[in-house]
Amino acid sequence: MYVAVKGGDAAIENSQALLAEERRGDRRIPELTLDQIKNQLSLSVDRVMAEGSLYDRDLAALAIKQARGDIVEAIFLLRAYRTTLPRFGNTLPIDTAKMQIRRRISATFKDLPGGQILGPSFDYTHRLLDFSLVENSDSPVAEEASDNILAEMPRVTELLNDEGLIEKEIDVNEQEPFDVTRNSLKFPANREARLQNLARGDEGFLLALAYSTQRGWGKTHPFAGEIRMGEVVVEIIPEELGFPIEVGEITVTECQMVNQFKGSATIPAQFTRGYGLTFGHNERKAMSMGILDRSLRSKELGEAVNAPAQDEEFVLSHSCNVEASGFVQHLKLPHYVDFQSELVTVRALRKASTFSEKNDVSPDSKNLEAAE
Amino acid sequence: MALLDESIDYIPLETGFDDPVYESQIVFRKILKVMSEPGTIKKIKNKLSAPAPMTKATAAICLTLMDFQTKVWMDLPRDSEASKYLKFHTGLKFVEHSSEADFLVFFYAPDEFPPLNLGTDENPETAATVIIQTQSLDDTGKLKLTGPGIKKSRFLNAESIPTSLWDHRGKANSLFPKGIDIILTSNKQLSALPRTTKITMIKTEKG
Amino acid sequence: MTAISGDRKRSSRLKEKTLDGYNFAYLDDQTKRMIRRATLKAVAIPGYQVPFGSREMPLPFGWGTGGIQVTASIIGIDDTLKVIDQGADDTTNAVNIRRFFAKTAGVETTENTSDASIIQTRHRIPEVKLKSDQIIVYQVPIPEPLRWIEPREQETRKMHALTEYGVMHVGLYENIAHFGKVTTSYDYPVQVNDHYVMSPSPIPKFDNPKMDKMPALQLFGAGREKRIYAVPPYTKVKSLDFDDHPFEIESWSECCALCGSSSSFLDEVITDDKGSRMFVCSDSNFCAERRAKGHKGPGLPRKLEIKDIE
Repeated sequence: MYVAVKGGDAAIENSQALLAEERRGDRRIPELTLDQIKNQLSLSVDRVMAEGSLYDRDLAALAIKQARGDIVEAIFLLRAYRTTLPRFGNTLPIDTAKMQIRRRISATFKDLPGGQILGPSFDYTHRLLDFSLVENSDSPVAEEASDNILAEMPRVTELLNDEGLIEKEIDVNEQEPFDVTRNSLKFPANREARLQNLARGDEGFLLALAYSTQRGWGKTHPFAGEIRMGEVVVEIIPEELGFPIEVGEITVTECQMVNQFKGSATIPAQFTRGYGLTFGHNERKAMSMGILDRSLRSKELGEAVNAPAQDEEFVLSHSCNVEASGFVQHLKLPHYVDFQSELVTVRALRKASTFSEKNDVSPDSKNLEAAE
Repeated sequence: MALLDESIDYIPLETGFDDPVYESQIVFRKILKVMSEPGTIKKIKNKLSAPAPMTKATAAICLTLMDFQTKVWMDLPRDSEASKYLKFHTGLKFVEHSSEADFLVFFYAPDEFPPLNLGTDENPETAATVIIQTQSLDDTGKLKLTGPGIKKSRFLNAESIPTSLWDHRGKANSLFPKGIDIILTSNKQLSALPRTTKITMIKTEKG
Repeated sequence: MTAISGDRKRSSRLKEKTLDGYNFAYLDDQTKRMIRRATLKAVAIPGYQVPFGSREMPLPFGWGTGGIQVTASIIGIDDTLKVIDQGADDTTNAVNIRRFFAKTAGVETTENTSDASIIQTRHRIPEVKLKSDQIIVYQVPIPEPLRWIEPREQETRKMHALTEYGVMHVGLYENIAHFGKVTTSYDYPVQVNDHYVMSPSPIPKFDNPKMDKMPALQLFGAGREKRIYAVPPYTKVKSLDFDDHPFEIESWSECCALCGSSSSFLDEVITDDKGSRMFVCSDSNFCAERRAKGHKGPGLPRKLEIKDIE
């Protein structure tokens, strides 16, 4: 007697028990603590916070632990948690000019006010596996800088701005900004929606698209005007006080790309901007975002739009890895009703077609006939 | 929310939902029912109290659908008890011009609608929803309704709504998919006429 | 999955949170209001896809988040919920979604189609005719029926605004020119109330006629694509076709091996590696009820012969 396959509670519970077992791994090895993840896998934590759109190092560390280090899964966990949080209001825009700088570099000027500050970076490491890390070792302690870092470090774009060499940034919009987490994206999207979408977009997707512009698929002639990383304060204005108060401090990475100049009969030649900002320390992401912000302005700036990275609907509709991962993997769900419909159709077509019966000499059909 | 909102220094005497999560779900299902089966009449049983001239049904619908994200226009002044009650319980945003509103609330049926948002051909869902209080609602005729949600036809009588308003509605809805979606209330009752419902006036002796 | 009826009512009335610390039916009331407003507009404009601020759910996008958000926004403690995937109550995904609502809303669940006040479905419409006062919620992966012809939302939005559906017919006709018939077998486009062309979700075209003038309210949720649409009860739903190629549905020369039904949608089950297979109802509740009434099918797997299959 045939019995239909049952999914059932028991199967799901067993599967989840196995998953928990695998997550823990060999019990003779001490379990990872959130402090260890936060401190020693800090760049993973940064990425999960950025794409998870939630600045909370503890929760991000928990998500990474629970997801067994699967970053996209951890981002999903954080996003799903974020959805349930009440919303109290908007912060004031953060001011990156007042950032407590830990790293600041410009590729456009050899030296500039505030100087080049290399800070912590993989950039000039030789990528040689460091076997001293195999065993727990005491890493060297970095010496504190003797020079004072400027409390307010001018941005490279501001320096260019003074000469009128770069397009002016539009004034801060007084209206409440569009929120991509609360509304369905509309096309054409405005810049705030685009930047929000890119800020929480998949790092790999942004990186590949930014790279494609450098290979001629919609070039933007980018210069890394400035990249800075450090801490900024977050402020709100409580209704009852009427003046801003500090509610916390976050680490961000900002990238200002200086791009292809434009000019017209009325406006003299000027460089254009591309902006990238991400939670935590992630220059790869911030730079990719800066390049894409600019390439998605192609239409606005009157350039030909013919490469994927210039196509707003294409880029913004496919940037979210939580959406993409879910939909690609939904193909694991049963589709046997749809497939049965297709089977019925294909068999009917084959039956109707004299070609398939008389002239189809593919090896498969021969075998089928032989078997019958 | 408190950070964004205008400060509230007024607490109305009339009560809203006792258990908002539970009660608003029940009211919503009634609104959904009358909107998907136009002309049917449902009754709310909530215990809330509403300041005159607002009826219980109007109050329950507003409390269920409105919040700080909705723009509302009413035919009562901003300092009326009804306005203050809704502002307190929902945090809605009142707008000055009727054409900016997501919801319009008429405590007294007008002869014609003021300028209102009918949506666009590309985004017809942005059209306003209009709530009109009437003196009574019953199924005894006057209006013969046909369209989606109605098996053959359904009859409705909404007392105190002038014929001119139905004519105005008809003209607006001839622009489908643009149009006006109406929720009618009377005391504890509610009914609805979405933009797809065709109304035929039944001639009576009184005309 | 057992509902705790007395407690469940009290806890929901007294507190906004259910016992495990989450909102009733998971979504916060602000989100529910937003979805409810969108749902009312969807009902008022049958077949039109209303954009909404879809949330990340604790289940992956593509796995029913649209249907889950719609269900979560309409469901109350007095509802009885049925969840099916591929027509069956016992597929893993259906079980999982039912578990989600049993856990977060504490509602009664059922496998019996007639007992349900809300039916959330993926890929099927139950065989039993749905009644007035029931609501069927479809999970939708791609809500835009024109997507395969024009991937850009900016363009398809214009096409809907102008009811410019010629390309859709051209697409189907190319099918006929190539194969002699329309070969779309699921997610077969329909026109609602003589206006909007709509995706019925990936149900087999076998189910399309059930949508026409259905007494139950039909709601469609696409979470990842952030769209909600609806068909009110008793609304005309017509599958696109041509005078010389009228719409037709799948048929089987077999009947259900278990209950003997010859009017239901059948799944093909392969029973060995020598070509033996059997056909069984995809609607597991329909099949079980028939068997309970004493209906019997041929039961034995039989070898497939090409001439048997239409």
